[in-house]
Amino acid sequence: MSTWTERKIAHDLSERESIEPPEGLLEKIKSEIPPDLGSRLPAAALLEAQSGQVVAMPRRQRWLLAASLILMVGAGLFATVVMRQTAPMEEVAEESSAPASPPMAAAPAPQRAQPLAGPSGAAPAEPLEAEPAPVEQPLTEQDEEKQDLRSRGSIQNEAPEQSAKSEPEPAAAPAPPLEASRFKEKIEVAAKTPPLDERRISMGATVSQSELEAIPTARDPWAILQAPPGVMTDRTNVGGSESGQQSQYIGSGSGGDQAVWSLDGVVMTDMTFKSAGSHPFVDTTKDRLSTFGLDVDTASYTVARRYLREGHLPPREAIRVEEFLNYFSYGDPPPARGEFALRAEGAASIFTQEPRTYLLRFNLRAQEVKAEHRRPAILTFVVDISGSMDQGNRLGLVKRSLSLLLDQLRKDDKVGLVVYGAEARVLLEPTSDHELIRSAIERLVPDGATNAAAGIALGYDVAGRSFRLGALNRILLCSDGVANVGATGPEPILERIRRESKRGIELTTLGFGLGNYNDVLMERLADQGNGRYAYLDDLNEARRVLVEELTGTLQTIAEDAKVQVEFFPAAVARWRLIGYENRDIPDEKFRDNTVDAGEIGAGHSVTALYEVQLTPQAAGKIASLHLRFRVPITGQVRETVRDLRVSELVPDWKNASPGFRLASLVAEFAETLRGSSHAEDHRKILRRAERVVAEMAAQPRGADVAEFARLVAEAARIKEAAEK
Amino acid sequence: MQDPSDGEEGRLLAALAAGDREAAERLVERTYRGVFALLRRLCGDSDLAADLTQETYRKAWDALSRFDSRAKFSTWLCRIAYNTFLNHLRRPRRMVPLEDKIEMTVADPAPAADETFGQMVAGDRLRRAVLALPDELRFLVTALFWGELPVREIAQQEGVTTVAIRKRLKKALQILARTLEEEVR
Repeated sequence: MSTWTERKIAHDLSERESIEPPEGLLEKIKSEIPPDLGSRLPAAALLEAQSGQVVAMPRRQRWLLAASLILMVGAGLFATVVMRQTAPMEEVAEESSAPASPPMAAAPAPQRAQPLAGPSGAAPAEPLEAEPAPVEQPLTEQDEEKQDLRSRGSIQNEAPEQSAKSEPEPAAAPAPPLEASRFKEKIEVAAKTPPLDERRISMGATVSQSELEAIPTARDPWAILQAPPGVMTDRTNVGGSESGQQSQYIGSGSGGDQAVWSLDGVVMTDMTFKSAGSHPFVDTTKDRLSTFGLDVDTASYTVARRYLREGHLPPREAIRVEEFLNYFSYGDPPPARGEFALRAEGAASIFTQEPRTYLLRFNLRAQEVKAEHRRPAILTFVVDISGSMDQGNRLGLVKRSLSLLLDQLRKDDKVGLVVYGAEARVLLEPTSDHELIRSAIERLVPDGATNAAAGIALGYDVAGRSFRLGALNRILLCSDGVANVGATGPEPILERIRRESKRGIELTTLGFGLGNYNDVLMERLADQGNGRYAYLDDLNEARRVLVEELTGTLQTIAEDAKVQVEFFPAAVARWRLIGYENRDIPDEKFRDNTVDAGEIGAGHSVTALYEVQLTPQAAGKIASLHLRFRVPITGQVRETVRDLRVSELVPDWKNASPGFRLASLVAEFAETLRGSSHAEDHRKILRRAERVVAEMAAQPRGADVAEFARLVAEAARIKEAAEK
Repeated sequence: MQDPSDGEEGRLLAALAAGDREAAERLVERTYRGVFALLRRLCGDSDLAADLTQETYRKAWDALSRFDSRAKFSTWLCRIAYNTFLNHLRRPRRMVPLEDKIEMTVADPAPAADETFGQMVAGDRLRRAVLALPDELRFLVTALFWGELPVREIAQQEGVTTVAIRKRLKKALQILARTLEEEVR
């Protein structure tokens, strides 16, 4: 190992491997130039004066030169001694001193050191007749101090305030410091007082709280019902809220898919579930790229399960195919090394009569982290204790879920508790004392209205106070999503969530209850908070999310993970992505690291299904899957690829792997639930599912598959009853 | 980031102030390579450097009203880029490790991840040593070697003389030599 001399360091530092900016960067920067940029600059006249400053330079420098010559004489021998020691610095000085104006060229620079071979060769070519090397100037101690003081005072700002009026500096010591810094000037501005002082003029109106509360929000059908003239409602305001908590607003006697409020044929509410449509087939010659952000949420499946168990078909809008798919384990092993194991397989599709049509399954399995290896967690629970949480013992389920979680925590984890009803308050600052936590959980009782925004905000305050670098700082919102988000809508709180997640406090949402459950809001909150969204329909689901998958729920393996699948036109005529409709990312943004995409926790498994129709002479590569993500903490961005070839396809669905068959059945079930389906479809799925159930029964999570088959049977039964 | 003709930048800025939006694009074209190169050398990662370059310009546009037109635009930009990088370091997540301590708090069970990470760190000792310098020395070394700014420009930006700059540089190189020597032993 060579020793590190100052000379070598200066040499190494000046080494210039050519650094080329990535393609597209210039366009990106340009596209962000604000349209009103010019008006932000000081007046044009002032800038032109800057060009004048260039002309003024030589005079200043001549003065400088004179000063330095005087000092140089005084310095004498001492300078040469210093010079020998400062060789590396002079080397730098030569590389980087800017070209001076012509009068300077003749300046004597007798003691200038020889430019060193090597690094300076790679330095930007510049004329060498630079300043007269004032390096040699030994400064007196006082001079140095003065300069240091001055420098400390003025270097911190990235954009020094421009002062129209600058006072001349206090007189300096007689030996002039080599003032090469500021060009001091005094500008007086005189003008008449404007007739109006814009800063003092404003218009305002005071709105009382009761008026604010009277504004009907889309989340509050009761308030809207009262608004149209001539409508009488028998609701009374209880506990400061009418937000539907006194009853459910599923249309009575109908299937869940008619659960929309309407009055005289006019839809009164925005839907609590929202469909993102479904992807159409795409012609490969027109578009060969499919890009989307990953998603590990599973709530849609458990919401649907809850509906089916209660004898209703779930609303179509509540079905997100990817959340159905990601609920199940398909027997894909975690990676032996690295963050992800990528798997790709394909087999003939059973759900269409079209020729040459195949289903492709891509699976991304994140590495597992042992519970004892995960980072310590600081969990701030924000619990909704509003009146609506009193129904069906929702709060009871929250309490039991929290108790389950408590048993899983390590000594270095902390739990805090914030509750909100009519107002938000801190029940417990984050602590690792389990006794304290248990007694706080016991104290959860329902209380009045729903001020979710205040609860979340207070949760962030508490989590912020206990924030620890390197720990998993997480807020867990437990709510039925009936959020009285206030007259301004959810935007302010979403903005706060975005900001905090950038800072390192993430938000996971745990949904409880049904009826007036707000799926859209809960998903959106978790999405903005870089966290997971799970719906806990019973204690088993709570156990799954908070006990079995706790490490994965908390510890993120990959941030902003996105996938791009490229289809090759020689093999694929057209393709269709099943699910991930609200996760679309423009193809060209795939390598844009600022795009917000999905967060993947330890051990999580993500499955994407495509339906493709091959070309008649298909051969070679069908598709390449690119996975791109950022490693937490280090911020490194990684990209991995997995190809799928025609030769890997299984011609017969029956011979495909059990995992593949299960995934295709799950997707098909989700699709029939959200499309116009007949009981016949469900029966078909059921027959095939039963065989998979038998094969997968022994696998971990085999019970999930059995339950899946029961749900399909239930859906078929409900549909048959309706068709009669 | 050097600019052979001081006047050109001034002209572009004047044109911009007069409402010529294309002048802004020219300014970007003239400066973005330098900004990117500086950030790439600071953080050692191209993707991150590209992100930070974009952020630098965003900040610059926001702060343009405070731009001191007596300084050079490219120098001012270099300072913003440097601050952007420092802010990036201070962010609790997405951090470029400066110290071993931080690496150790991360229980990252992936051997592959650890290995690549180790190589990156080993090949990058000098960069880390520079980043560990006291702030004013660090900016100096960064701007001079990685931002390729002339000493005179840095002096003007920092409000000190070129002599003080060179003295600081000497000190910085001494500290670097000492730090790196200690690491070898």
